[in-house]
Amino acid sequence: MTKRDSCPKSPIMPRTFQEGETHTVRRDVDKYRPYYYAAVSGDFNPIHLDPEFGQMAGLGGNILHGMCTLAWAAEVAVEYLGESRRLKSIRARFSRPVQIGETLTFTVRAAKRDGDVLRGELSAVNSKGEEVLKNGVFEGNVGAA
Amino acid sequence: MDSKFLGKKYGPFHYEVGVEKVREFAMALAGGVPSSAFPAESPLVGHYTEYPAVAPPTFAAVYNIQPFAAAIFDPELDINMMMLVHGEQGFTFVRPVKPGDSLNTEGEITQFAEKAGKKFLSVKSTTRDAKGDVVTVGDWMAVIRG
Repeated sequence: MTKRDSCPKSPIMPRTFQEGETHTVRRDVDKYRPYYYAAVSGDFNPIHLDPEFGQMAGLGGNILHGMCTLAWAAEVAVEYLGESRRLKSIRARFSRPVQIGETLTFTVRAAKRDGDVLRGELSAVNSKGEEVLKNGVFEGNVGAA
Repeated sequence: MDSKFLGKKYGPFHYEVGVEKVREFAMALAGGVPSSAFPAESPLVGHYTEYPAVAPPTFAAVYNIQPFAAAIFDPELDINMMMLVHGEQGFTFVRPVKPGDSLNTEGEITQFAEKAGKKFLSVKSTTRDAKGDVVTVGDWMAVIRG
């Protein structure tokens, strides 16, 4: 099992890809993050950028792009797999809006290994421990590069 | 909400993958932190410190989204953007996307339904490279609340 905060220089532990192995990373949803993500994704929906609009839409303020949450989850899977090209698929349901100021904890877990194919589960919870992603799964190729 | 929209197609949308855009995308995910903030062995560093060999997998959000975006803004579908949230997302990465790739994405509506007072829109998007080989498949689902 390996754990890391957002971006500290702690090492990534060697992994074995055995079933049950996990890798955890925390990411802070700082108030500027939706602006970064809007700029590079082209998604300028005001629910992500305007706190008043987010309130009006019943979301309790502006919320992070679901795709940014999924992008972070994919990064954790890539870190676990060791190489970007090893990630073959990812899927998740956005079960709860991600509020600004939250810290998200992402965990990927090796669920089943079949030869070079690793099927994994991924979870993401907010600062209160509530799931912001549900039914998260990914598939990786862990064979020799 | 009307099932007559099932199978409605959008695209093809063309996208040229640029190296600086890939770096900017990776930088936004990193939060603008210097690459030295990551452990040297992290595979994420390679996405943005030097000439990135491949794009982060979810760069697909940039090029594979186009048919989904077109559907959301399709006047025939009459979707209230204010009540729309991203419900679910899946990607299948057939091969990594690289700077210099010339991509074409086509999509179609696979679900347009009303359940329990909410509306659901699903679009399947397929991205192919210049040779016509499938690169990425995206399953996009939006929920329109109330």
